[in-house]
Amino acid sequence: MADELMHDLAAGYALDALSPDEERLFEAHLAHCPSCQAAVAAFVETAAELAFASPPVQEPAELRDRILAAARREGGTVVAIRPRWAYPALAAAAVAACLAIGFGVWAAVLQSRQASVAALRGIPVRGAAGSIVVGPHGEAALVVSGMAPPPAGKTYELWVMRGAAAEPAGLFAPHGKGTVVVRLTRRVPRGARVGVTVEPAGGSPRPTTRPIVVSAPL
Amino acid sequence: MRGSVGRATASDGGRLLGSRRPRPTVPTPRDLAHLSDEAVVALAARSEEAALGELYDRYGAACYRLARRIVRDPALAEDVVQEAFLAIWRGAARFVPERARASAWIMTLVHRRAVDIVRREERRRALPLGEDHDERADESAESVVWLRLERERVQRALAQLPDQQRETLELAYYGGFTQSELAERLGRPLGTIKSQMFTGLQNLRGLIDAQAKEGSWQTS
Repeated sequence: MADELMHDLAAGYALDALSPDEERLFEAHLAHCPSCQAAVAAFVETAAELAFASPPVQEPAELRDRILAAARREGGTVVAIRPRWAYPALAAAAVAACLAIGFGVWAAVLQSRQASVAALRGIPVRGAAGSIVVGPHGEAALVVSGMAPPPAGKTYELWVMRGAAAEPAGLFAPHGKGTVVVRLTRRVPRGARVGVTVEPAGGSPRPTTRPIVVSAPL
Repeated sequence: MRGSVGRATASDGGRLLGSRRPRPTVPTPRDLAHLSDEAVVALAARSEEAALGELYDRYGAACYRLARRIVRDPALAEDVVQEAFLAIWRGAARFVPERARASAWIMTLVHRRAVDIVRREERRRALPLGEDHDERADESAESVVWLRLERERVQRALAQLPDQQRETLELAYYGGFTQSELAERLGRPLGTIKSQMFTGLQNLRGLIDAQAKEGSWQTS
């Protein structure tokens, strides 16, 4: 879809009035369109004003306790997958769009925005703007944006790291500075971390350099 | 907290994932009352339960009213609010104050979930967009007076919009209709709906800003 048509979707996006297809297209566009990002930011603030025009009804007295109890059960370990607001660090819209691409069958889950999205976890990384997205069985993908291509003759290599051990989990080499999604070739057990090193083209069986990107433990 | 209201960084990740023992510097709820919304969100990002409670105290009622208006059903509305607050809890570390006010972020989380639900419940959405007044909240309490002022402020701005812009915004925002559904329902070209949304939001912003400048919302 042409960019001009995309700009027209900013208001509908802020009002949550796009179809799932339109929303996906717009989010992919949003990730690299500063003027739409600015438009959405302004429209979202205004749309949120509409929330306050709702008629008065009494909220249930026990709702607060229920919410806090549910939060307590969750602990503080999970980072939301769909942070529509976080696009400075990591174009969140791009993440949502790329997740759909990167996770194949999970795309349907993400796009339908059902509760099962909760089965996916986002794990923060240090060293790049992005995160590791983990499925319920340790399936994982690295989603990063703005990562420079590796030096000539080199590649980036993913590792699943546990203690001192590191097992290779795939190679990648972003071309531009956009968002890339790399599905890991092996599952990531709980407590392990994901790392990225620069390796000679073709990859290495063991890391030969210090990781430039490391995730929090999964 | 000594001003540590920034976002959780990646290097905090390990700690966040670790123990949840109370820190000696945890503020009491009383302290939280003096913090900005954004600072309270930053505390929630550090898994401070009191911060989530504080956000509920500030916005729980508004969230529930919005959810009720969209989904109609009290039990569904409760689910929406609970899901939204859990999304706050999980997503607080990713909230970026430079991008939006925390209140707008919170209402967006509620709106999104409410719309998801109402789209699944076609039958419910077919109901006319009336306002439920059967169980009015007691608005005399000081803590909810501001909600009434807020409502009057936004309603006054809405009332000044051209009819078609207001209709489009209300059906989209409270009715959960997509722009294509609105084009069909209202018998207007899709391009018209899109520009009514665009212009409607722009005009609404202008009206709200003008009110704020005049301070006219303080009088009723």
